[in-house]
Order: sequence, then structure tokens, then C-alpha cells
Amino acid sequence: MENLDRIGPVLVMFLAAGLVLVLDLLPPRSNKRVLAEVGLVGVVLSALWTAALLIRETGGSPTDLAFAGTVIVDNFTLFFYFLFPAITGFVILGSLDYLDQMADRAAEYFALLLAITGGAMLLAASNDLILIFIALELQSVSQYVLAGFLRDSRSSEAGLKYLLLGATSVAVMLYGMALLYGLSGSTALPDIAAALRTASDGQKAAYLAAAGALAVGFGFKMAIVPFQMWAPDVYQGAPTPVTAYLSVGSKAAGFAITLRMFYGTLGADSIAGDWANMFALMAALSMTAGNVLALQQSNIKRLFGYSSIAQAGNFLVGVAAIASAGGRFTVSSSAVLFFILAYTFTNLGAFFAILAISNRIRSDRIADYAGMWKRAPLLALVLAFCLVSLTGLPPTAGFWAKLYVFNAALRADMVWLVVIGVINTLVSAYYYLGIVRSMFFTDPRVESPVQPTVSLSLSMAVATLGVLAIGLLPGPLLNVAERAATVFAR
Amino acid sequence: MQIHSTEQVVFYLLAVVAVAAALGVVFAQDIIHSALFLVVTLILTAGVYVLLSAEFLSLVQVLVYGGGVSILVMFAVMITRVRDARGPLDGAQKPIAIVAGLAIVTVLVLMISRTEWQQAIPAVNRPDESPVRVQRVITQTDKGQLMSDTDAIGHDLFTTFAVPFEVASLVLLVALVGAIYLARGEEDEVT
Repeated sequence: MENLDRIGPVLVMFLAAGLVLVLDLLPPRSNKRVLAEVGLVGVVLSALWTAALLIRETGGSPTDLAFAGTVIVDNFTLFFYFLFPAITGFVILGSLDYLDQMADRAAEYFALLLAITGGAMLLAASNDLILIFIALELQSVSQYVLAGFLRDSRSSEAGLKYLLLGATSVAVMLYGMALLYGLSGSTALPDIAAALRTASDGQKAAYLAAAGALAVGFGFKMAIVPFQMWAPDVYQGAPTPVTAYLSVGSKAAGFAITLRMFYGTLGADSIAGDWANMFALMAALSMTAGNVLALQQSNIKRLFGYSSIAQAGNFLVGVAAIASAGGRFTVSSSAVLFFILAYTFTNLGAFFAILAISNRIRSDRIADYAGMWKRAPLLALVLAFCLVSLTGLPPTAGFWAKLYVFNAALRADMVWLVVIGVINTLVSAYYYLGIVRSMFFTDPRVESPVQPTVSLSLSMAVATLGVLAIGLLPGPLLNVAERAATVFAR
Repeated sequence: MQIHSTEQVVFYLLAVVAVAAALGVVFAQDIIHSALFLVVTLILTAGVYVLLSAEFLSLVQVLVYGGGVSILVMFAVMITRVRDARGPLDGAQKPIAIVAGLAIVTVLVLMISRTEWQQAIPAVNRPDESPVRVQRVITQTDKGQLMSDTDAIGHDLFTTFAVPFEVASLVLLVALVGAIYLARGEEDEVT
């Protein structure tokens, strides 16, 4: 029972997914809102269970293992136990508006969404290569289906591309896992870490090759250059709420496992510097390529695809910024976690505004956002605020996030990376604020007002308040991030 | 290269043919031939598993890959490319792919040959100078009994790896739901 207690929040999500599928078979079949409500109840229960773990202090210590050491429930895990259900809760609220368009497919939609969430939480809690692989696959398979969920040509293309590229990257990742097993003789992460600490020089190259192969698989999830090819097409083709989830949840899951794997397991001094340089290079590439390509986009979902690549580059700056001495992972991992939090609120807020607008005007073209200030003042304000936060200007969450990440990079003596980051911030300001300018300072082609639904307004309000609150008072959440990051202190 | 045992002879036979068949997969001009070469590679890999005393893995390899997957590949080819199945399979990226492939092979060969690999599982009866590290995989239970590898896998699946094992069934469920959903067609076709 103690074992089950540790993964209780995950089990709740899985149960909710199953319940949604079963409920769909029972009469009355007309009311699909019930399914969303089951999902929301699951999210709340899961969060409550996590809170209970936290209060009882059963989870939270770095040695709190379950299931023969395959599952670890430390502060880092608990951080993501809270984050992933929260994201899903938001996405479910945002999907209610979409429900009309997918009449009899709601059950599959919500069940897959809940299964992804459970998989992501399990990924954050995994302490064994085999569990990492299975949790990653659970997410991926569901996401392939959700990307192709609309079954029109664009959505199917998105699903297929995602599947093919995803399968390839996972194959490379498995090769890396096989190398790690061959080197250490164990699939358990602590064993691998121990084997790496005592590894001879002759094994260093193989450990680095394994790290590179793992970075391919995780990099695909994070959508970083050069594993980003799928992002724009999938973001454009997938249903908008799914895009919102992919841009936030899938990315956060990728970074969770990257931190666990590289900081927690492959963090020995002998190779840490080398993979940090690899990540620094990928960060520079991601930021630059993402921002430059975003400049030319005319479809807002596609633009967010490229923007999310650039943002992942910002996260990666944090991952690469390991300090040269003393507590080398604590500053950088807390910066990354804080960035994930800030980005979650910001991007979800932006996507809800986009969802509300594009559902009404039936278009994803940026040109159609012209004069939105006159048609939907509140929506335009929310979107503008979130775009400002994505750019990284005060008084928003994005500002602090960038500040902390760049600060971590400076402490790690990666000045060149910070310079590239700052230049990229300027580039991104051009297209982020370009949308704001078009919404506020041009005349609309059509005058008809745009009204969001209640559920969307609610989730938008929470997300925007979150961005503002973090922007004005970053302290408490930074504390949370720092507490979660203590796991990597050595 | 010195040959020390029959196991090595068998290994090199299997390995050479398997690699040749793998090259056949890539270079065959006909997709059906590629698929057949793939079956050869997969089944010979099962032979290598036998040499490594991983009987269970070898059996699974034959059943799943030699049987299931290859038939699936054949069906996919049959259903999707009925008319143009005999077309050339090369794309415009061929030169790049060759360079990239050779680069990766070089790096991997160098890395694998220079690394001191750890002996993962306690091995009994292994010839000392064998390049093929033939292992007799015998794991001990807590009570000190000896288990074959099939027993050991079963034991581990339901103890250490209980969570991944159970979650694997969820992956299957999700895949099933997704496959049915995507293959179902439009609403009006369903009553």
C-alpha cells in the first residue's frame, strides 16, 4: 500500500481515463460535459493526493523510493505531480468550447488526455530506464493520436509526421539506454550514476555517446533544434487545445526527464562539461532558428510552433548552465523549473485567447487578428499581455524567468550564450509585439464582436493572473522551484 | 582472428549473414525484397540471442519480429502500395544519407571497440579469451535457488518491474483506442 500511495496521483489520472471510456458507453450518451467533469474531478483529486503526500511528508525526501526503486518520489517529482494535472485541468476547460466540434469523440479525447497526464507524471517519477521508456511511450502514443484527432488532411499529416519522427527518435534513445545498460550492468538510475562515478577513462566516450542518443529522444519531446522538424506542422494541424497541451505539457515532460537523467544520473564531473556544451549549442541553435523562422509565419498556430522551439532554447540555456564549482546543478535546475512554471501560465493564457478568437472567427491567420482590440478588447488584452510575457518584458512572469535563466548561464561562465539569448529576445520581440501592434493599431476588416465562453474566460483569467502574480511577486514560486531543485544538490 | 569454439563459428556465420541481409534491406530496389531481407536479419538476430543464452528473448524475437512484425510489414506493403510497389525506393537525400550513415557507423564502431564493457550479469562457464562473451545466465533467487533466464525474466517482471509491466498494458490500451478511433471513419458510417 505504501508503494501505491507514492504513485496515487498517477493512478487517479489513469482511473479517470478508464472511467471516461466506460461512462461513454452508459446512457445517456448525449451529455458529453460529464466526461470533462470526470476529468476535472480526477485532476483535483490527483492534486489533493499530491498535497497529502507533501503534508504527510511521506514523499519528498530524495530517498523515498517505491516499487523496488523503480519509482522515486522526491520534491522534484512532487513539483511535476502538481504541474501536469494543473496543465491538463486548464486544457480540459479550454476544450469544452471545442466539444461541439467533436460530437461523439469526446470520450476518446479526454481519455487520451488523462492517460498522457498520468504518463507524464510517471515519467517525472521514474528512476529506471525501463519505466522511463514505457512512460514516454504512453505519452507519445496518445499524443500521436491526439495530433491526428481531427482526421482532416492537415491533422492526419500532423499525426503521421509526429508518429514517424517520434518513433525514429525513440529508437535512437533506446540505443542510448542499451549503451548505458551495457556500461553499468543495470537499468536503475542510481546504479548507472554509481557506475559512471567509478568509470574508467576508456568508458567516457561510450557514456557520452549514450548521453547524445538520450538527448535525441528527449530533445524530440522538448522540440529543440535539430529535433524540431515536427513542431510547426503538428502545432498547426492538431486541434488547438492539443497544441496548447503539446507546447506546454509535452515540453515540460521532456525537460523533467532531461533534468532527472542528466543532472541526477549523468551528472558526474567527468562528462558533465561535455554534455553541457552540447546542450549550450542546441540552445543557441534552437533560439536562433525558432525566432528567425517565426518571423515569416502568417498562421498563428504555426508561429507558436516556432516560438515554442525558441522558448525551448531558453529552457535549454538553463539546462546547459551548470556551474563550474559548488552545487553545480542547483541554480540552473531551479531556473529551468521556474521557467517551466512561468512559460506554462503564459503559453496557456496565450493559447486560450487564440482558441477563443479562432473558434469565433474560424481562422488561424494572423492577418485576421487585425483590429481585435475593437472586436474583443479583453481577449486582445490577455493575448497581448501573454505575448509581452513570452518576449520577457516586465512586469510579467516571462521577465523573471529569462532573468533567472540568463543569470544561471552567467554564473556558469557562458557569456556567449547569454549574448545570443539577448539578441534572440530582441528578434522575438519583433514578431510577438507585431501581433500586438496589429491587434491594437490597425482597423478590423469585420466589426462583429468576438465573445469567449465562460469556461475559456475562467481558465484565461487564472492563467493571466498567474502570469501577473509571478511577474509582481516571483518569490514564492521561486522558492518552490528551488525546493524541487534541492534534489540535484550534491 | 582466431577461432576458439564452435559457438564462435556459429556467431560469425550468423553475424555476417545478418549484416549482409541488413544491407540488403537498404539496397534492395524492390520493397518486397527489402521486407524479406528484414525478416532474415530479425530471425538471425534471434540466433545470436540463443548464443548469448537468452533463450526466452530469442523465442520472443522469432514470435514477435519473425512472425508478427514481418507479416504486418507485408500487409502494409500490400495494402498501401499495390500499384507502385515496384518503384525505386531512393529519395533525393540518398547522398546525404550515405554520408551520415557512414559517419555514424564509424563513430559507433570506434566507440564500441575502444570501450571497456562491463560484465553485466555474473557469468559462469565463459571461455576466458572469447570475443563472443557467451554467458550462462543463471540468476539466484533470494532463497538461493538457481533460475533459468525465462524464470528470471518472469521473476523480475512481477517484482522489480511491476510498474512498467502494468503501464505497458496501458500503452496497449491507448494504442488500441487510438487505432480504433482513427480507423473508424466518419460519423455517418457508424450507426
